[in-house]
Amino acid sequence: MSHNTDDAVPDPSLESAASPAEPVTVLRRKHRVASRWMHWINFPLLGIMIWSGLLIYWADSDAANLHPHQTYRIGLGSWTLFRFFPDGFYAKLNMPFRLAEGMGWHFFFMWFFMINGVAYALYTLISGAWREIIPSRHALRDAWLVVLHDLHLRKDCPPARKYNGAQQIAYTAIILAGAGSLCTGLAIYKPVQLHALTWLLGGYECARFLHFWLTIGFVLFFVIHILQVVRAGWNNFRSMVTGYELTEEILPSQQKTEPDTL
Amino acid sequence: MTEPYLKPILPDDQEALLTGDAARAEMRRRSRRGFLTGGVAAAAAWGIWHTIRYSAPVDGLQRPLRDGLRFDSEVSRHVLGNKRLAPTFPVDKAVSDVRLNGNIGIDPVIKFDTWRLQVTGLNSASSSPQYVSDVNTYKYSEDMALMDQDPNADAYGDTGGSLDSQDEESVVEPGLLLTLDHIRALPRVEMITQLKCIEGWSEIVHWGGARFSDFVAAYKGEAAALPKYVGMQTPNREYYIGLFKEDALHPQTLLCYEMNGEPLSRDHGAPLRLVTPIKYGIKHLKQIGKITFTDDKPADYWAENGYDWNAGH
Repeated sequence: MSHNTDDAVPDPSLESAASPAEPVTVLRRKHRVASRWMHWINFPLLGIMIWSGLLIYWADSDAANLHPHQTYRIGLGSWTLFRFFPDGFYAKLNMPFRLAEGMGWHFFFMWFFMINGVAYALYTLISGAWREIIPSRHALRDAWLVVLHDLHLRKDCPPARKYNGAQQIAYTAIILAGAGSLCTGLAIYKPVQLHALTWLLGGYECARFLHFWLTIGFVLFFVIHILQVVRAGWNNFRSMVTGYELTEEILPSQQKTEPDTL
Repeated sequence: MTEPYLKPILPDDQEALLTGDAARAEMRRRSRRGFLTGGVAAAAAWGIWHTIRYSAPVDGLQRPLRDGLRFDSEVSRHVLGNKRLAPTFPVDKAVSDVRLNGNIGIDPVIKFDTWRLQVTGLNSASSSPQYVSDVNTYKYSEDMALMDQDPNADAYGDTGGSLDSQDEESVVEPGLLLTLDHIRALPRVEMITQLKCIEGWSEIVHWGGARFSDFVAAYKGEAAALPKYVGMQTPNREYYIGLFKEDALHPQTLLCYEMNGEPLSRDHGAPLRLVTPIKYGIKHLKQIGKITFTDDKPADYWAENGYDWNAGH
């Protein structure tokens, strides 16, 4: 993948005299060591939070007939289209009757999830890495083009940067979602002593509703994230482990030397 | 010239670029190191999970998780405290048909006129006319005829209490024997608060009763210091809870005898139950038999089954 194709087009008048410069393989640093650690630490932490959260949701679903239109559902008023989650879902995942255990895990690992998340946010702010993640002016249009490209509806992709518009929007949203999960979680956990927060989030039921849908959001993000990582290939995945990526580039030094070869 | 694909992100990127075979060799070196580190970290993470998952349980919960709940409880008590009040609601927000979600410990046939509230652990109580030298010798009576009349009798199932177990307590405990009229004589308060079940559901309920703090003030006597905890149990001792003294004395902790302006039904804990909107529903013990003031952390039915002892909001 050459990103310097414009520069690589040689002057037609020189064509007979010089062969165009060949791109060379270059080792470039891509991800900071702190970002990589916090990213990978977050992976099992979020996994445990979602899994233990499901153990907790089971208890609500178990007697759902007694509060059929409360909180974890798709519906309006006293009409419910879908109730999360069906019995079979929990049974398949060995989740029934583990509410106490779920709370034990959830309220143990919440600390580490919070500490890792806050550390990541502070690091991103202080290091300046937020500039790469925050959506730029053209992020929306960019993201749309990326979506069209990824769905094979459009041939060319917007110019590659470290993160394209779609990534910027997704990564910023997921950081905000993490903050939202923390706030709604606290609002549910201590709805009396932190009542100001619970009230701001629309009350106890509303905070639970938001906490649930943010989690659904994490799961959707995860699925798309994995698909995109698979698409992007090994070089990209490896950079999240090692911090480095191999790129094919035509270096300025190569361009400068071209006229001399005449 | 277009921008390089990746801008340098740290000062040491200003070093000379590695290209060609040198770049590939360095990448291999870094990959080896990165994936080895990653493997060790993943193994450590798995080890942490495995250690917790298979730790011996303490009261039905793996020891590290149990310690975690205790830590959370201490953080909550010391950082957040319990001074704030649970929100209250207008009376029309209260549900008319309050959900029944548990009957463990409720005796289906106890005769309410033989019901007494046993109170132990108040040192100053000996001067009270209701003082007896051993509350445990008091026997509640059952009316088996009630079994046929009670439409919910089946619902009690095999958890339905029998008072037989009241013979098991052999400890001599001096204390008070109070009737419901003693509790009714305390200032009556109404409170419309949200009952939050640990299972997830919640309901706004219209309660009526006496503040626990008023009860303590009336029977504690002058200048007597209260022990650290308050324990409660049903007459048949099948359901029991514990509270920190501060939470029992919270102004919204009630000895409740009314729901929606009516006397409590048996299913909802008649003649007297606990209501405390700063705790999950599991602490709202129905049909109180005995209240114990103690410095020993009281046993708690659900805390023995894996749940948090504090269970506070």
